[in-house]
Amino acid sequence: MSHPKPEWLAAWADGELRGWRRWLVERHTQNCPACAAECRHQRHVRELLRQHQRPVTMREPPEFFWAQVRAEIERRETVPAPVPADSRYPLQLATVLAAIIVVVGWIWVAGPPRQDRAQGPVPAARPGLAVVETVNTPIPNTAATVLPAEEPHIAVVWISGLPWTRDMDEMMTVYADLES
Amino acid sequence: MRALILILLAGLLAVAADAATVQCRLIRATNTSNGTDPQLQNIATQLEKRFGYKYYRQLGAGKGTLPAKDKMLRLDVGEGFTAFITPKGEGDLMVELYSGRAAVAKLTVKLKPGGHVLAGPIGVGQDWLILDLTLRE
Repeated sequence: MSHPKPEWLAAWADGELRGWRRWLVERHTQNCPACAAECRHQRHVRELLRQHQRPVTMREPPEFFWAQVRAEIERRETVPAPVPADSRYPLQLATVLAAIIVVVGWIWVAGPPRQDRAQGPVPAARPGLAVVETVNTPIPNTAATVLPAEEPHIAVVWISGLPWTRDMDEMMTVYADLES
Repeated sequence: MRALILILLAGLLAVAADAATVQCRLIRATNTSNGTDPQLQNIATQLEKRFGYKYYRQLGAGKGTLPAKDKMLRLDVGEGFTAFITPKGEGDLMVELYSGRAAVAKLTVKLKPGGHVLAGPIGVGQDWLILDLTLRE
C-alpha cells in the first residue's frame, strides 16, 4: 500500500486539501494506522500552536510607522525615474528637436537682442536661509534624508529607523547606551 | 584715560553685537497637549505641515555665540541631547547632534540668520521629538 505524500497529510491537517486528494487521504487514513496517527499528530500540533499564540505587538506606534512610510515615498518621488535608452516617444523627441531648431534659427536670423531694448529687472533667485549640504546618521539601520524645501528658511532632515521608546526615561536610557 | 576706556568698551560692545547667536531647541510634537508654546509660534505652521502633529512644546534649548572658524561650540539642549557646532566658513556650519553617546545626525549646513534646520523625528510614546537649529544676528 503506497502512502500519501507527507505534504498532502499536512495540507489535510490544515484543512486545505481539496478534491480527489482529500478523498484519497481520508480513505487511506481509515485503513492505515500510521498515516492516521500522523494526521492526528499534525492536528494536535496545530491546535497547540493556535492556543499558545504570542500576541504580536508593533515595535513602533502606527502613526510613527506611517509617517516613515510617507517620508520614504516623498523621498523616492524626488528621485527622477530612469529613462530607458530606447525611448518610446519619438514624436515628442522630434517635436522638442524641431522647436530647438526653430528657436536657434530665429535667433540666427534676427541677430542678437538689442541692448537698448527695455528690459525688466531679472528676478534674483531667492537664496535659502537654511540649506543642508550633507547629512548622515552613524547609528546602524538608520537613514537620514533631506526633505524637499518648501520654504526658503526651513530645511528638514528626516531621520528614519531611530529606536522608538515608550517614554522619556526609556529614551534617555536607550540612547545613552546606543553606539554610533 | 576715561575716553580710552569708553572707546574700548564701545569696541567690545560692537564686536558682541556683531556676533551671531546659534540656538538649538528640543521640541516635542504631540496631539495631547494644551496648545503650542508661544516661543514656537513663529514656526508652528511649518512644524504642523511637516510633522502632522497639532501641538509643539519646547522641552529644552541651548544657546551660544557662534565661535570663530573651526572652533567648536557645545550646546546642551536638555533631556540628554547635545549639539556640537563648528563654523567652517561664511555661513557654513558642521553640526553634530547627539543623544547620549549616539550621534543622531551629522550634517553640514548653510545657515543664515532666520533660517531653521529641523531634524527628527525621534519617537517617544505617541509623540515625536524634533531638534531645531537656528541662527540669529
